[in-house]
Amino acid sequence: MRLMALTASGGGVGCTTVTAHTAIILQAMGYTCLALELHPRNQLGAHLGLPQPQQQGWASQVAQGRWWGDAAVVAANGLLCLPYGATTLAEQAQLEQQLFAQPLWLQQQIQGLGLSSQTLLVADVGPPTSLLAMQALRAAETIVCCTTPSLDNAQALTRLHHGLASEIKPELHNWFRVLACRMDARRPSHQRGMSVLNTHWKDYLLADVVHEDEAIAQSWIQGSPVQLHAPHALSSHDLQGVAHSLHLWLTERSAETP
Amino acid sequence: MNWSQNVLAWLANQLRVERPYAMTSWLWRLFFYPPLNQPWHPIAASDVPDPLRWWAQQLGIPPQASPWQWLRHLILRPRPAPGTLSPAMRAMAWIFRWSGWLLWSVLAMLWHALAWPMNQLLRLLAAVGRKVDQWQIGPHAEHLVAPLLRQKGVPQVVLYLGIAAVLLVITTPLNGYGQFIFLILAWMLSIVLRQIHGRFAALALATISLIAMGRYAWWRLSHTLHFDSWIEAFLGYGLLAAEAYTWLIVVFGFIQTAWPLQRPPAALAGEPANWPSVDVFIPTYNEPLDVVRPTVLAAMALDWPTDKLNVYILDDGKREIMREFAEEFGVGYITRTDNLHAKAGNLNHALTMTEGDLVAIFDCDHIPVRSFLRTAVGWFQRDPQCAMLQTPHHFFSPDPFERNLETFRRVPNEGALFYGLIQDGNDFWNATFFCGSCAVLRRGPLLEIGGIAVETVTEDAHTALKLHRKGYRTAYIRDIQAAGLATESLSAHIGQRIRWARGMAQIFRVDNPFLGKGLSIWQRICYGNAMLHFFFGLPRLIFLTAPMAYLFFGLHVISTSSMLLLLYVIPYIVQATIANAYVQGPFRHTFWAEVYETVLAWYIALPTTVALIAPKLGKFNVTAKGGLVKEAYFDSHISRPYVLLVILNLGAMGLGLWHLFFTHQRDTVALLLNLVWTLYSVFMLGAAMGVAGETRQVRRMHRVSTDLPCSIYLPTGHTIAARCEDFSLSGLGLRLAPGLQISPDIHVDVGLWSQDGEHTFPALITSHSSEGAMGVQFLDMSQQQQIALVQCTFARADAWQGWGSHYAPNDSAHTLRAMLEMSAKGYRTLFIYLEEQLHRLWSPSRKPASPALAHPQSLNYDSYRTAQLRAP
Repeated sequence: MRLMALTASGGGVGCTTVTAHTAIILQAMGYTCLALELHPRNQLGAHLGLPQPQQQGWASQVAQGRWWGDAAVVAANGLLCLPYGATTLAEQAQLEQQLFAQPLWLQQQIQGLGLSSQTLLVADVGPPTSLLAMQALRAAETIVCCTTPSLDNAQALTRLHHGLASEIKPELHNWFRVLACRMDARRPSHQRGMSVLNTHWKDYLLADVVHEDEAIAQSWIQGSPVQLHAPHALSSHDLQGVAHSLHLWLTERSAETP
Repeated sequence: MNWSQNVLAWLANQLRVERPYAMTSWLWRLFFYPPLNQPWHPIAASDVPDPLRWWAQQLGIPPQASPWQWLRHLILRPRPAPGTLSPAMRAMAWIFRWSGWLLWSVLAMLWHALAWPMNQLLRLLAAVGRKVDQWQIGPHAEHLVAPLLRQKGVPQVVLYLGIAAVLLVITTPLNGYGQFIFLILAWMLSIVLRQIHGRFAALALATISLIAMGRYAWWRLSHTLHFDSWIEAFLGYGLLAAEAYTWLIVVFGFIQTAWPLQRPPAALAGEPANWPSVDVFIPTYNEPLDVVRPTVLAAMALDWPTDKLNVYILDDGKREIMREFAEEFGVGYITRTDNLHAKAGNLNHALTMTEGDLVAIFDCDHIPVRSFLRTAVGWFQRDPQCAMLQTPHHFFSPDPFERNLETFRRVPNEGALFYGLIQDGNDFWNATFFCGSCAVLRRGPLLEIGGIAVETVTEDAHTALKLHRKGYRTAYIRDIQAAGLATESLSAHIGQRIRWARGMAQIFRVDNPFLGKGLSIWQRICYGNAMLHFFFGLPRLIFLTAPMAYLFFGLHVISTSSMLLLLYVIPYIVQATIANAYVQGPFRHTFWAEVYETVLAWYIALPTTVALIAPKLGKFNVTAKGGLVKEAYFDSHISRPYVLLVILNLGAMGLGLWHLFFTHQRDTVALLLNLVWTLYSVFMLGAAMGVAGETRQVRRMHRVSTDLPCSIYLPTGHTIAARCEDFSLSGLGLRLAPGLQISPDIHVDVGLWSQDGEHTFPALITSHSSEGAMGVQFLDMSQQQQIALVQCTFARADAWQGWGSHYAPNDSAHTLRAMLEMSAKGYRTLFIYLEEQLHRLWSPSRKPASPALAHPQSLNYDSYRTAQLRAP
């Protein structure tokens, strides 16, 4: 069992979209995936065709003292999904307390799922602003950080990577990738941001970018992945490319560290 | 009622055609005769259609027309509008086509049957060759010999021994049988050799070809110069001189291309801060801003430290618009008070006003790719004596040959041989020429020789010659690093070649490479060949007319028996063809040199001769580019000399055939030999006239076909992935996934990628086909966008890579067939032109009537189609 955590350098950068599509496409490529939502926004299921808003989720299960794995559902083509679910603020506060008391809580829970060693957990972590996100990033084998090519997010990326590298992953090798999302090449700020990313994050930047595209919003409404809703949309091509690049990276890593 | 109706009625009665107005009734009666006991009511002449009237209708004349009118309309038919052929004409055309095809098939079958033993032998020998090639004999030989050749003195000894051996073989006298055995052995050996890869096989093939030529030349000089009269002697020595010229060119060419260097780019050394500074010169005179702009934008974005790159427009046209453009984009703008010495003077003036270490020169229509300087400058760092580095001239639009013969990107063009092989060969002898554009020069040596040479109209080659005389080295990298527009019409193309030829002849006179100090013998040969090559005009004309001496007047310009001549000339031609196909094949297909030279011969003959006698005459003419041939036309002015030559050759052929069949005064073999020669000339002249039939150009901006990913940003916020299939600076051709539709006339942004990322350009969708092909036209763009567009299209480092991979392989038989077709097309163009001229002569005011009026009652295309639809 491997955990790939998708984090974000800021809010609204498209991390959930990328997580959902990566999980679907990798599953279609032959991986056994579990899409794991670690974010109270509770939106991961939308592109996977789960009902919106998703009521049942692991967070309320945990709050009620039950086993979180009971909230797992199967989405299209056998993709396992563990949504966060609807929660009250009280439930969230309770969960935070639990996480504070048990720093290895998430790791234990994941191991408790009893998944095979081949399963790839694709976790939607979001910006690393909560204890849950911290535990997820600590447990992750690989981290992909989504960012928009704007300068503020690029700055946040530096802090994030620095923190992760010094506190969480000092011993791991080749564990980090940056993905530029919601790119609009017409915007001068994005042009500049892309050139900053290309200069400073050359070694980490995925070759693919995900373009800003109305088709993603529309497919969200439809409750389907964008490659089904609008196969020729640029974002659909982009997300396929991202999944493929991640696949190559994961294969290369597992070849390096047997 | 007239006689024709009577005849038809008689025929109808004989055949017992019941309904004479129906074609089917006639056809039926041709095969089925009615029972004899059936009663028959004879048909009167008034009951049958009038064939004369029908014919008159077909010809578009009244039935009472004068015989003269009949004759004229029988010969000169108005061409029908397309799609209006009557079914009868359609059937006729179909029958013609079928019988032609049948004839061709029968001939081809016969040919295959006759050539079968020969083909089997060829196949066997080729198999042997391939077997030998599997042993890797070529690379092994190179590996073994290379260290040996590096020893001092060894190459010289090998060379002298080789020359001695070749001379020995050339001068060995053989009788007819001996020469026949030589022919067969040489041919068999070369068939085996051409399957073997490597330079030694190429050298061996070229040597065999040289020997075959040498034997012919030796025999020609020693056995064929006994003439009966002074006129024969005059013509005979004239032909000999023309032949001797080609021998010399072949020997020089052999040396020039013996060992193509294929120099790789050298890596840049040191930190970018220590790289040499570069001035980019873009000389222009009268070219429109649209042509100059992309070159300047691409030059500005060359991959080089910005503080070490200065771009200058050298405007001899002194145009305000050019100055404003330079100011707007922040590039240098240099003009001068006079226009002395044209381009050379322009460059020299700019040299005095700038101070970069290196000077890169681009013609204003040669767009450099981004990597140009990174590719070129490394050698200047590695070799301090390197004064000039040249890269190929590449054209992304078809030249007149390619356009009018429809060979663009299928057959290597005229320049491919020079930039593909000859310059690489020159480079080995340190004799790379400067070609005026797409090159980098070192300022110091250039100033030492007094700047760009101004004495001749080909200042570039002369400059390189001067540099070589001073002991500097030059280099050539066969890597397309810039591309431009080809000349747009045949007359412009010929004009450019005339300038080159004249300039080369001038250098030959004023600064002869065989004389003077500072050059190695090999450099002299390379330069000598480059200049002598342009004297091909007169010899080519002699070859086109030589057989006439015998066919018209029975003069023997080669005094020998025809069989012996064949025995010597066949190995010469065959071996030269095989060796050329092996060595030059990828860069020039077999027979193409003939077409190129035949077209230019007439026009180059005079200027080269004049320049040789009076080198000061003649001025620099600017090559017109970026123009548009709006309508297809036949350049009758240019093709007049070919027409004359065709008429002469056809006359000679007719006379020869008459002698062959009706008189027995002349030697049959000699007649046949001369007839075949004439036929070959006629056929080459046909291809030359094909070039003069200018086809229409559709677009002003030539579109370069490509396959690039691109994105389309719609106003709705949707973004679509597409492929870019062709580009120009005014628009793109895109292809969407099947089923996608974007309505025309909406504004979009199109994203393309350059090396530094994605750029978007505002555009208007102009067309959309149901197959997903879409045309977009660019709208107003900012400065940045203009620069980025050039970077995403013409200046991509990989823009011209693999250009030659589309070429069809050099297959002699296939080329010959293609040439035959082109020749036929050339004659067709000529006949159509002549017919039009005749029409105009006869009835200058007559306009071609619309087909519906010309054939009021005949079936037109629509009714034909309706009939087809009704048919079961």
